[in-house]
Amino acid sequence: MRAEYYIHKHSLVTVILVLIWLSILWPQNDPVATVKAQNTDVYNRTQTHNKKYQDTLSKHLPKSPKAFSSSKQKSEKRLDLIEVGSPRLQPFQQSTAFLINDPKQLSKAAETFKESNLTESEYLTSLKEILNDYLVLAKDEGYPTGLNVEITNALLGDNPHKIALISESNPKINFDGELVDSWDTPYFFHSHSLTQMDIRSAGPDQTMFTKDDVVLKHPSTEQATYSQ
Amino acid sequence: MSNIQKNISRRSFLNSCGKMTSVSMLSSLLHLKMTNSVLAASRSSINTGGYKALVCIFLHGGNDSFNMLTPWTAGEHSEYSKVRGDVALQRAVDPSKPKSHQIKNGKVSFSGEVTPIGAFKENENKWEKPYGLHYAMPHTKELFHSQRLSFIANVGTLVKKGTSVEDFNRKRSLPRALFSHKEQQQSWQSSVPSQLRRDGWIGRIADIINDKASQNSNISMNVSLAGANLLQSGSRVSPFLMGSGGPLLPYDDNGHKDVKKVISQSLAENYSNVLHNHYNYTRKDSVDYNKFLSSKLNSKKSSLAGYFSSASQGNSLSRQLKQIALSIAARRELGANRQTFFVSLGGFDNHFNVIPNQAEVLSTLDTALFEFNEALNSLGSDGRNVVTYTASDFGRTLTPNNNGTDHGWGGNQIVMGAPIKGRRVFGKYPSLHNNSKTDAGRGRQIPTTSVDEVHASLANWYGVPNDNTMVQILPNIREFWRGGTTRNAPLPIIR
Repeated sequence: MRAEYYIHKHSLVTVILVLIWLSILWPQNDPVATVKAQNTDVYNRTQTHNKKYQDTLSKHLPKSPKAFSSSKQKSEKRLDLIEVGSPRLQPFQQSTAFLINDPKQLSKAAETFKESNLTESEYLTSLKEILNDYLVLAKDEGYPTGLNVEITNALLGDNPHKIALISESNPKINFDGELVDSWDTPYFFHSHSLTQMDIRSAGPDQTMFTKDDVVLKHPSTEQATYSQ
Repeated sequence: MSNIQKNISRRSFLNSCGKMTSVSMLSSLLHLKMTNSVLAASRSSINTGGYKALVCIFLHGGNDSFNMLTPWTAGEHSEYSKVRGDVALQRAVDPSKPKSHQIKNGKVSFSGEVTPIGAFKENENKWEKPYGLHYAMPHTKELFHSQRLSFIANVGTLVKKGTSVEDFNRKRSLPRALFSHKEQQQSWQSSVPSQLRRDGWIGRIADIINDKASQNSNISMNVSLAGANLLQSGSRVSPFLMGSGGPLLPYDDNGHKDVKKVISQSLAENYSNVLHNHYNYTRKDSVDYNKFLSSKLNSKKSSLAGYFSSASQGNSLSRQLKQIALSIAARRELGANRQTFFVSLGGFDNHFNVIPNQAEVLSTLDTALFEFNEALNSLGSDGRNVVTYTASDFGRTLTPNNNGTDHGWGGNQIVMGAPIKGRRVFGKYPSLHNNSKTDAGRGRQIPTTSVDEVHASLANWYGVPNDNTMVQILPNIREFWRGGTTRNAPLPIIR
């Protein structure tokens, strides 16, 4: 009886020890491999996204070695440039800022807006499309508000998202950093609300609020209206 | 018994049960809401003793208020003239008769003049300095000198005290959507500049005290003459809407009999649909309340006849203020010991032709304020417990854009009434020169006094103590006014 008990007890201990040994020595799963195995598709998409993001960033980093340092500290400082900024009414220096998107890729309207053979109404429509792109990106923040130069700066990338929608080389931007109409008069942007904005061109007589003004009013209806 | 349907189907039985349940649920919810508001009123530390009324005149569009109240001393006026260019008003040669603007060949050839007004120091009846007042406001000058009216300088929406040009350039701690009409109106009315709110600061007061302040629970303590507004909307209380001609009735008792008959029949109808029926009850109640109010106001018309002569000549603000004066006169019959009123005057968004356009609306404001003050004087003690203040979307750019001005930020406001310290310019009137410490570009003034400071001063007079209740009503107030200091409101507006 005693011998049987002794054998039984020892076999139980042996089994437990074997199990502990196995649990320690069993090959551990590679978490990356697990993710890959479980959801290869998601993993691949993430990798592709990261690569694209890095490519876009590298396109917009200043090429001059003096202007750009690879050190993390200096790189972060550059990110602050956009926030430090110059007075809001100074034209925004796109080249000194660290922006995310390539405006050419981002907006077809931005390309149209550069063309020289459009009517003023077409310019206004393109400009409104660019602003609508901004609205989509900015979401709850709505259209940029303020004076012409502040709105232009926002489209150039002086915005919380560091996204440029037009290039600073756009011929429609004057020396003072304002978007101008076909007769070189700065547009007048009237902010009714964050989602409602009128854009007014002074027209050929270059005087605002006269009969020849071209106005793109933000309508209560979906259809945009021009008055001339 | 004979009307009882004996062969009732299972479907119709369940249908009826459903309707009965929904009615009882609706009723329970309404009672719960009422219980909550009664509890809130009884727990609140807001003093509702005595009678007090607050009147907000909203100047829609953004008043170019640095032409309403200008610097007067030679040096300061010179700086002002330099910045304002073509829209600058001149110092009156004869202060008793300031010249108005002149137009030649369709263009403004002379902008007009300002007349000097002598202001006292904020806290004592001692001479401070003169300011210039717009030529279209002679009555305002009279009210100012008789210590019935004061100004609050450079008020605007602020997230934190001492916001600087650097903060503005860095876009740091700024109110939501500066320079945009709708959002700035919302910020003024909600007194929460950094986020969108669904309630206004007066609405939040009413949420707490409406049941205590108004014995007639059917008519809110908040009355609007200018439609639905955020200022007076709370989570439980909505403003009672009146037209500038008085309570809104679907028919005129003296009008066409058939119209009255048709509407009365429609209101007396019983509908099988529960919600439809409830809607009809609400309509009927609304008509009854308006009829009740109308009868009370009509009874006071004779006592106030003759005070609002400009109302019949097209002064829209005077028409609205007349209804307010009647409501205050009838406040005992209405059982109200706290009232607020909201009125509005448009025509201030002048990107074009600011000189003649602003003169017209300021003249309207000037006359209406004078008439309202006269009417209040005739109402005895109740009239002496009314504070009227102006608010506007924003100030405007000091530098003109052709002959108009664009959206700015801080601006000057008016406060009027017997309870206030009159003949003052509260707050800090800024230096109006280019690149000053308050210049956010093109002369847009960074406010030196926040809307919260103005609202807290008014709320404190209205009975709101400077404890957690004040924070509940003005969530951002601790940026500008520490808790517990009950004696000194942020602005010493009240006597």
